[in-house]
Amino acid sequence: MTLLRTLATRLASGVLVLWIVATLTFGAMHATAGDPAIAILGGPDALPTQAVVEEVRREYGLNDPLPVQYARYLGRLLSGDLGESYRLRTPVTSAILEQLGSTVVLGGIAGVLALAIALGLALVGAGRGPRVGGAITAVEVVITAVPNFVIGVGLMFLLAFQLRLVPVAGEQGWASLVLPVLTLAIPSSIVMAQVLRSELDEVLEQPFILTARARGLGEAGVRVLHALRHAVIPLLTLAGYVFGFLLGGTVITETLFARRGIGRLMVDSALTSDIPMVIGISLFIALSYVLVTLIVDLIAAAVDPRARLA
Amino acid sequence: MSTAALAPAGQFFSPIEPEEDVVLAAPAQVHRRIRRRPALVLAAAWLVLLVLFALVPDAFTRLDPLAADAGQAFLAPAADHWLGTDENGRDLLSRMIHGTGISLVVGLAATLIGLAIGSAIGLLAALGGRIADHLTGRLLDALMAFPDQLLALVIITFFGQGTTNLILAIAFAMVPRNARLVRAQALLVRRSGYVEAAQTLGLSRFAILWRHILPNALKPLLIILPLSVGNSIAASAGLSFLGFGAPPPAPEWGAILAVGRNYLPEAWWLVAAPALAITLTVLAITVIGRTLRARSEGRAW
Repeated sequence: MTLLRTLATRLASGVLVLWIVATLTFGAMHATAGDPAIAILGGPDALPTQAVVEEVRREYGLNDPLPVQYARYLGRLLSGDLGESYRLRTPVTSAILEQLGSTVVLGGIAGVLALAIALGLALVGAGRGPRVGGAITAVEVVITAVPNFVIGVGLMFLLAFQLRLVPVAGEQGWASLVLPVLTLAIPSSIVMAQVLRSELDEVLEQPFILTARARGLGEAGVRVLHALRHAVIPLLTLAGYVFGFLLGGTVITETLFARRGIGRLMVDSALTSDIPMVIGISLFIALSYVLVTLIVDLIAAAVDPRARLA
Repeated sequence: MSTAALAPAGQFFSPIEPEEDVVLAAPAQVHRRIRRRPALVLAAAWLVLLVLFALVPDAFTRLDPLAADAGQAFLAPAADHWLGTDENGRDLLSRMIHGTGISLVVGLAATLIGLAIGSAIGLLAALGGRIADHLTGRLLDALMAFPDQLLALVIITFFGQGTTNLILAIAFAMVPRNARLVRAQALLVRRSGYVEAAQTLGLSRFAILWRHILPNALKPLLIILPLSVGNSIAASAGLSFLGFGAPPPAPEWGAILAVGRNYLPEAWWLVAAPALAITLTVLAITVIGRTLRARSEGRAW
């Protein structure tokens, strides 16, 4: 019953967020984008005649009062119609869906790898006293200070040009995934490892850990079987942030390694002022963020009874 | 508690002992402190050097960052050109030094604008009544749905390219987090004894807001201010790497890196110099920022 109520409130706030994003984009579009009719006709450089502009205005309903246009905009969004790209001349929705697979593969593998690295680092590094802990923190600080494009170019130089282990860029085969996946996974793994390790440090001080040790359980058993379960819950609440971190990272990664995907599509659209595409991607990202946080909240509520009250 | 965050630079060298805060230390003492925190000293030295690069670039290099010479292209680092030359035969060291100013200005300006807008929204949410709180809260929720880089790209798309809009884009991306921090702190401050006392004394609402609530509500933001500057510099380098910075001939670290990437196998220095400069700058600011934050929390690191 409580789970259902949690679901209902989270769902409502998710819908609210989406509605605000839709309203913001509608407002921004009308406040800054200039005359949409001219943009539809290919921009001011296309020099459309006044009659043609009027024709387009009538056809797209641009002469209607703003509230009518707003209602129609929301209606179109609800039916999954995000408009047509200025640059590609194709529906925004199908352009996004076309690029989505590549980003999901990249982000999914990078996310799993980052989680594995973070678990390994935290399980090995937690509760080792101030000296080792300080050294690990110092390494983490240095790695987080390296911007992701520097990591990417560095890996490219080392693994592709010097050692010739993997292709420099492109999407031929699994080997081409190595560089972008590492570039995306390394910074995210450090973020997660920091949270996990400080949580494990605390859990390892708890009485039930002492009990487990007193029963003769080995160090590895204590950490994996007992401490980890408790440390994972804060990581779960971090999942929304990590999702955004990975998604934001694809902007640089996909551009640097010449891959298809949502991040690259966003960069290309922003460079060419393709406003419908940028708005479409924004709404799509907001939707996926809302869904991810909703699912994470539900998992957290199922795993940890205390989270249901929040 | 966190007046330490605003302490003069000389105090950074002392990690724990607050009783030594009077900085009239004997040379031997200074020497000991430097040995104890070499990273902090190196970080401060690098930042001082960068500020000098930004203020008086010509004192460090006599070569023109824009002077192209096709015959001098792709020269490896040597005595004539300490960092080598780029694809147009321009001196890389000169370009790096002349590009320092823009990185620092973008980082600082974006942080300050993000601070101003964020704290205004945060204060409005905390003090403007329930409706204002709900509206701003949901607005921030919506903005939080976007990763920083993507939010910055959305803003650049709507407002156009250029350095000013680059600064605004990075600043806006910082607003949600800043606003939340200020809101939470302002809610605490509003119920504090000294605000109650000021009200009892009959101070005007504006005076209370300006003199008592604002300075105290900003504290958590001021503590992380250096870290925000570091993040902004990295973000601006990333965006100029993607092609959203100043147009081509201008020397900009991220842009130099983006061009250098195309010549990576033949001219590694074109990538190494900006990559190292950006990383060292962010790292130096992080080291100093973390020290400030730790001191404000009474920790050594």
